Parts: sequence; structure tokens; C-alpha cells
Amino acid sequence: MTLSDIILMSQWFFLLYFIGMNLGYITLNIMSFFTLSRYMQEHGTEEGLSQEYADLQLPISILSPAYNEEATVAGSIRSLLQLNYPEYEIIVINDGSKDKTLEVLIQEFSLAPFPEAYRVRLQTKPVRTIYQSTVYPNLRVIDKENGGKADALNVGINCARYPLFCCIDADSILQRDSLEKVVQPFLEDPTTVASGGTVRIANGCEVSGGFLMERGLPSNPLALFQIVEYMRAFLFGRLGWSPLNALLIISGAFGVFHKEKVISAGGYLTNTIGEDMELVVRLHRHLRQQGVPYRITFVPDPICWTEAPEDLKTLKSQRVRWQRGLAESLAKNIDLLFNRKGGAVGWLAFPFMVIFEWLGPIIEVIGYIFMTVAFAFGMISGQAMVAFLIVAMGLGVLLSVSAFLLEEISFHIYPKPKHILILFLVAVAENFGYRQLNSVWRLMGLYYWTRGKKGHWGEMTRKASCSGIVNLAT
Amino acid sequence: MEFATSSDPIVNLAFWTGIAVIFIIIFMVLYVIFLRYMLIREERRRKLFLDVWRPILIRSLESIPDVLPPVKKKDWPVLFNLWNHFHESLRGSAKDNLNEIARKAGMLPVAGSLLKKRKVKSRLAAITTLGLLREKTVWEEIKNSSVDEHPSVSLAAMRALIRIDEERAMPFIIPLISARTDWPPARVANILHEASPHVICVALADAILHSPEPHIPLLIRYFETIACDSSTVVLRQAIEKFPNAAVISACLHAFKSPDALDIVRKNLTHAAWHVRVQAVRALGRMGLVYDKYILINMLCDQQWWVRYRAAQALSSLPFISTVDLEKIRDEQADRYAKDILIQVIAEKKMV
Repeated sequence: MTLSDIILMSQWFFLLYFIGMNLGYITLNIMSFFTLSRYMQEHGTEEGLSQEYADLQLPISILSPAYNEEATVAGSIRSLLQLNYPEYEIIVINDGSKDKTLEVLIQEFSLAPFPEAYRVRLQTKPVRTIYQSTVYPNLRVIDKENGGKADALNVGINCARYPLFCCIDADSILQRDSLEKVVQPFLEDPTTVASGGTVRIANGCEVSGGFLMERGLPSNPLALFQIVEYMRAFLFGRLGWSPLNALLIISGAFGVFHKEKVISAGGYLTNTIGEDMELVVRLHRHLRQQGVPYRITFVPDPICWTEAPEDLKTLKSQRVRWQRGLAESLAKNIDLLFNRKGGAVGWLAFPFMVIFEWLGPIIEVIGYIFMTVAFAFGMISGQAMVAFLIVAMGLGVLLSVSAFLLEEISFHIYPKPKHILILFLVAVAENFGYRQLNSVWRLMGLYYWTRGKKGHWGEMTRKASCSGIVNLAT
Repeated sequence: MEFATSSDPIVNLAFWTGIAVIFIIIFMVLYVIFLRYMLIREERRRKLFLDVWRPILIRSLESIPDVLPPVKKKDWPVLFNLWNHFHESLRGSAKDNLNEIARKAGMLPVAGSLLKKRKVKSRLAAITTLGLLREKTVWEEIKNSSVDEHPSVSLAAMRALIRIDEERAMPFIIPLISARTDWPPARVANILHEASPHVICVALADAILHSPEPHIPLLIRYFETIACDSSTVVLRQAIEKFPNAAVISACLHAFKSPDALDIVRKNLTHAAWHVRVQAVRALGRMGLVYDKYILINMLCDQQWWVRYRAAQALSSLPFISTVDLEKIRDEQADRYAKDILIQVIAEKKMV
């Protein structure tokens, strides 16, 4: 085989990989289109329910793990206390914060130590004290030794009194009807074990009293790029898999789970960085193996808002962490891949994730380097290089634009026509550097994953009042 | 060495794929702009229409105008929604004038034709209007809609049938509410409450005793939300007929009268822990002095939830004070019983 044969084969491989990947996403997009149209018809006209039938709604325990959140925790909890839902409790888990998170909570919510008969159903780091708010009967704070977010969530599950629990980042912004919407799949289908909500970027929006008041676009280009990414990720990355019951990710920023099902699956795994995705993949694996009918579903309404990083350092750290989390989640549940009982998740979603999300960064980065080097050394023509770039970037823009189309037929999050224009320009611009940078960061994430470096709480530089851990893998 | 040239199939494939993608992008962007343009236009038209019709409906509460402005085909759904909104927010005779306006504006025949449309929102608006008008002529059409696969449409049709003729609707609706697992229970309960209590009590009681066993617990939960005089008798019969844990649990949850105390006490030792939970809760609601000792025994149950509910039930008994609870706590030899009482006493002190 000559060098030219190798180059030619490589060209075919990279070209077909990019086309294959994007065709996969376009298929998801088409599925999302039909799912979203149906969803809008079914849910676009619903009125609120009378509070007198609260007994027939499923009560929820909201778990909000907090680590060094002294600046934002009080505001977040206040907004949670104002949610529009008949019966819910809020459990804040202080995971051994080094700052004054606990002191702020004690002072703001008049907490008093509470002698709770704590049940250890999932093994966790020791709980130091359980506090009960003397002002809000549905608010408890658990102070525990530091053990990571997953460990904090497991403590929350141990303390939860209701059959459903909702995990939420201490700094996510919800809407008053967010819980009502995300719990809807549990009411419509009793086999539902988990339901995830759509997370959107709050940068550029007006936030007041812990609630989103007005939608807008940020001026920071990194935040703008992430808006387009989130649109793609949620409007078809998640929604496309949901009707096949093959959704592999529910964002840690906002998701509702059936408590007993999670406990029987072993709760959150503490030795992984992507505990939210790992749990969902493991639920699929367990329930498929047991042959239990179940649904893991997704609510397309934009019901949770989060602040995106606006500096490269924080964004890089976030993306490296997410890619590690994805790799860990897939590796730990590799049994699901082409499993006899795997169904759509084992035979479609999991392989798709492995090829295009797990190994994707390797192929993408090598592809970019190969084409650039081959072009620089005259091994491929200028025409071939231009054609490759048109396809790679064109397909990227196409996916973003199709996400705008889904947005336009559904929620119209960004009200002004100029918002569409800005987002379109961003969708084009992100192909010139941002996407490539992301691929490099994700590759670094894979490298750290192979090194088995220990995970830690994601930290972020905040400008407003929120953040979130939302794996964008689509 | 041969390098790729424009005659290479790979370059051609990439090039033409790229060109096709660019055209699709342009088409989609134009389509998005078109959709946004239509949305803005639609909003503007809707606002203009509402500016005309809202004052008409408000004035109609006092007197009905002789002449009504014509309604364009596209504006009918807006009028239906506006009219429905007004109708549902009014009480008493004010509704009669609204009904008159609907007839005068020609909403009835239009509603009939909207029922046949595929668009869910149009059908929903029409079904709601016909229900509010108590229009009997479209009974069969609405009945067909109540088995529609869209939960919103079928629920709206169920509500409309109840509004039109509740007694005629019951034999058809009750089997549906237990069969349609996609209907949110709270929404169903909301709608059932629109029927007269005696009608719904009779229908539900009959369904509880004659429906297939898997449907019984849900029917009992609906039955519970309606204050029926005969509830204890019906629930007793249900337990006798279907003595499974799910039915017993639902009945124990629903019992409100001390007449059922014998059944409650009998189920305190049931093998299923969720039945024991409901039994201790029922004792907390209607227990007698003697039941205090039964509840104290239940504090040692192996299930946390039974112990917790037993402690809560004890604390809710009207003749048990916090001091009494503390005394009971100190007398406990069982660590779990003591722990759960410590928690519940702390909860009680906080309230």
C-alpha cells in the first residue's frame, strides 16, 4: 500500500465519519421534530390544577447538594421555596463546605439541629448534623463530611421522604411550574423511572429573586456559543432519543427520579465524575437486564436555567470534566453495548455515544490535524481541503440551524428577530475555532480518564447567580 | 505519488455534499425567518381581534348587542378561547348572556366543524365551548373525542360530556377513567368534581364493586376525594371482594369513620408494609383511647415508614400531649422506637 493509498483511505474515512455522524444527528433531529410537534399539541394548552387535589399528585423531595456556595445558596433555596407544586420538601446537603455555606443557611432559614431517625439505605460519608428550618417546615439541611456530589446526593436520597426525588444544582434557576412539568411523565406513564428537564443558558437574561424574569442574549461570545450548543444538545440530542426510550443523559442540574428504583440500582456512584449520566446508563442496564418495563424520558419545556462559563479556563475545566464523566459512564456500563436485552438503548444510543461522543474527539482532532498537515505538505489539493471544510462546517451549521427551527416551532425562547440573526451568525462563527477547541478539551478529558485522575466538585467563576453541570453530549 | 484532484470521487462527494448542505441551510434559515414573520403577524392580528371582541364580551354581561362584527375563518379559534376563558371565570346568570352571544355569533356550527379538524388546539377549543354551552346535539361527536388518543382532547371531551348530561355520561366515563393510564389522576379528579356528588358517588361505588381488580385502587382514590355518605360501606365491600394489598391499602387510606376501626386494627399485622403504614395512619385519624397501646407496639415495626407513621399517629391523637409522648419515649426499651419518637416529638415542637 502506497502513501497516496493511505492518504486517500484516510480522506474517505474522515469524510464518511463526519457525514455519518451528522446524518445520525439529522435523524435525531427529524425524530425530535415529530416528538416536539406532538408534545406542543398535547401540552401547549394545559391549565393549572386546583390545589385541593394535591393528594393525587406525586410528592417530591428536592435534593440540592451544595459545596462552597455561600454566595448563592440562600437565594437558590428561597426560589425553591416558592415553587408551584402541591407537596414537596427541600433537602440541602452541605458536602463539608470550606466556606460559610452552612452558617449562611443556619442564619437565613433559622435552622435548628434536628434528632432525625436517619436511615442508611445507601452507604455514604458520615452525616454530622441534620437541621430543620423552624420557619419552613419543608426545608431540611444535612451537614456531612466531604465526599463529593454523588455522595451528597446519596445522603439526600437516604433522607428523602417522598417516592420521587429531584436532583438540582444549588445554583440552578427554575421556573415556578418547573416541578409540575418535569413530573408530568410520571403521571402519564406509571412505568417512568426518570425524567429530565431542558436546561438553557441564563447569561444575558434578567434574573430576580431566584427566578428568570426576562430572556435575552449575552454579549460574551463564549456564552453565545454555548447557547447554540445547549439548543442542539437538548432540542434534538435528548428529545430525539426519548421516544425510543434510549435517553442516556439526564442533566444533574435538573432531573426527577423514582427513589426506590435508584436505591435498588445502588444510588449514585461516588467514584465517578459524571454521576448524573452514569446513574441513567446504569438504570437502563439494570432494568433491561431484569426485563422490567420502564421509561426514562425527557421534557422539552425550557424549565431550568443555568449560568455558562464566560472565560476559557472555566469552560475548559468544565468540558474536560464532562468528557471524563461520559467516558466513565459508558465504560462502567459497557455490558449494555449490543446486549441481547439492550433494546434501542443497547443497540442504537449506546453505540452512537461510543462512536461519536466517546471516541469522537480522537477522530475529530486527528482529522483536523491530518487534513491540515496533508494540505500543508501538498499531499491533498486545495480543492479537496476546501471541500472537506465545507462539509465539516456546513454540517455543523446545518445542525445548529435545525435546532433553531425546532425552537421556532415550539418555545420561541428568544423573542426578538435580531436574536435569530445573532444566533445564526454564532452558529457559523463557532466552526472557526470554538468547535475545534472543544474537541481538543474533550480529548484532554479522555486522556485524564485513561489516567484515572480522581474527580472533584466542579468549580466555576460566577458572574450572576447560577451554574450547572450539564453534559452536552448529544 | 498521486494526489487528490477535483476529478477524485472523494472531492466530488465532499464538494457536492457541501453545496447541498449550504442550500439546505439557506432554505432552513429562510423558513425560520418566515415562521417568525408569520408568528409576529399572527400575534398582531390576534391582538387586533381581541381589542374588538373583549369589550363586546364584557359589555354582554349587561346587554347583548344587536349586531356583532363578522368573524374571519382564521379568527374563530381566538374567539373560542376568549369566550371559553370568560365563561369559565363567570358564575350564575352572567353565563346566559355569553351563551346567547355564542349562538348569535354563529359559534355552534363552527364548533361542530372544528371538532372534525386534525389540529388539537382547534378541537380542544370547540369541545370546551360545546361543553360549556351544554349542547346535546353533538353528544356522539364529543363521545367519540373522549376516546381520542391525545390525553388533552379526551379529557376535555370527558369534561364536556359531564357538563352536557352527567347522568348519561357516567356509565361511559367511569370505565374510561380507570382504563386511561395516561390521564393524570389529579386532572381527572378535578373534572369528576364538576359532577353532582350523588351522581358521581353512585357511579364510582358501582364501578369499585364491579370493575376488574387492577382498576380498583385508582377508583378508590377518586372515590376518596368525593365526600360520599356511603363510603365506609362501599370500601368494606371492596375489601371483602378484593382482599389484596393494593385494594386494602387504598381503602385504609380512604376510611374516615370510626365504623371501620375493626378493619383498620385487623390490618396492622398485614404482611405488606405499605398496608401497615396506612393502617397506623388510619388509627391516627380515628383511633380511640385503647388504640394508643396498639400504636406504641407499632413503634417497633421493622419498617421505618411504619414506625414513623405510628409515631406521627400517636402524636396526632387528641388525648396525647407532648408530655405524654415524652413519657412513652422514656419507657421504650427498643432503640428504634425511641429514635423515631425523639424525631416526631422534635417535629411536633417545631410546628
